[in-house]
Amino acid sequence: MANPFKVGERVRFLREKREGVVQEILSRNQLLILVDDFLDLEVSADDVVKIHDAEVRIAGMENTSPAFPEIHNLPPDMSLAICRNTESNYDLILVNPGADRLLFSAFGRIKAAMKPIGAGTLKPNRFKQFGELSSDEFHALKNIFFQIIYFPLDGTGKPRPVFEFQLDVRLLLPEANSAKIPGVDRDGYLFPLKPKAETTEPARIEITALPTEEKISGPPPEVVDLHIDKLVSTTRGLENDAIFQIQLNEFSKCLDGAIFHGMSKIVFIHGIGTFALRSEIHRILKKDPRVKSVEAGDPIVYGSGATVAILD
Amino acid sequence: MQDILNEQFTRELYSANLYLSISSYFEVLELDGFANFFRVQAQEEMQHAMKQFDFIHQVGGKVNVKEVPAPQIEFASVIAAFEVSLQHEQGVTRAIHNIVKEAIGHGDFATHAFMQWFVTEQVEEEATINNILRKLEMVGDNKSALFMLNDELARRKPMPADGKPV
Repeated sequence: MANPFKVGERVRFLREKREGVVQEILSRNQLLILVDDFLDLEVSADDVVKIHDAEVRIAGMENTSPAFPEIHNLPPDMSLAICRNTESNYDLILVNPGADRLLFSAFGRIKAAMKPIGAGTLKPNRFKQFGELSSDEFHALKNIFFQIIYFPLDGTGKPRPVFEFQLDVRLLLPEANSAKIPGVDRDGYLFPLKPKAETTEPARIEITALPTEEKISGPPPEVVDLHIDKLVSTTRGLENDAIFQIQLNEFSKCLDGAIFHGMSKIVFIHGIGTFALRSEIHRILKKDPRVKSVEAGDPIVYGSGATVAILD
Repeated sequence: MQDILNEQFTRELYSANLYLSISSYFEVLELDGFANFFRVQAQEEMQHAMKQFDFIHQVGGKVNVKEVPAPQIEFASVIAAFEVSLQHEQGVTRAIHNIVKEAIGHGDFATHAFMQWFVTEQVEEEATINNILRKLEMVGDNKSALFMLNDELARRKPMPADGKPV
């Protein structure tokens, strides 16, 4: 008997409180279900039931088309489409014509502030609406900053280094034409996202405001001393776990900053008291695909207890 | 070049201290073979330092004996102690290669010739530590095998100062 389900149908799991959309018919009894908008699960057809059209209409669910529509007549590059919607707001749509799955986040500079617009995953050959701007926000939008990680589709390779760039919407918009966007099939503006934006080199992007408590204003020092007395004014009341966490937070922040600013290496002085901090730093650095290699710091130059992360 | 050679002299003293520290770690664990291995390592590093000391004076320089940083005193495990040792030797190798490059850049053929012994010595040092590390990885949690390795390392004797085997 043929598989009773079709691609695009909404289904409900029998043994758990979960719903999803059929993405692929893998075999007579196996389905690939998209759950929670980002998780692909292989499930048996016996473990799900179709949510009938009547139930969809009554519940007011969205239509049964796939959450990540396939694209035909693709734009050649990864692109951002900005399309006006029925409420006179603007939908932001990321278009992925490539062969890799990707993880992305996007921030928009609206007037002087940096605002998170959206984040998510996107399968190859798909597009996805990841954000919406009001009319006021759209007209105050200066640029959009993307961070994208590409994962090879077969899952065997490491993700490539983070792809970062800034799209200067305000500069490009006056020259852009609103037209039917191929693949997405909506009217709007289409901006190809090239590795090197016209006005900004990714390695030199400076973010002056972030939706976190900290601002990044420049690269970290080449030598970062993680001794707790260098990080806090007093250790009174701080237990060992808290001290350790403060040191690790500083380490992570400086490592991210070094990579973001294109530094070739960064040295962490962790000391020789116990091996916990050194071990954890080494473990993190060795797992991080952005780090080329890890070396012991020259004790004559940095004192004992230093580790060098080679980034370039 | 004198500054670089002085730095290397201090580095060799640091190496000796580091290996004494590791030797003490193993003494506390009562792994006397491993402790002996690093005691001999420490003695050889002192010999290296004195080679540097003598050479600097032979070429008309002066040794500035500086403060030597205190080495690591705690180690997570037997393997971790050897990993620290290997990473340290890799750092020493980089430093020695840098001295050779500087000597070539300055046309200092005497230093270049002198350092060749250290270049060769570092190949052997890294290979020795790597060999023991591979054995420790194979040993895993097998205590009998660990003690056999301990006995093997207990037989290590220091090399004479002239670098020739006994």
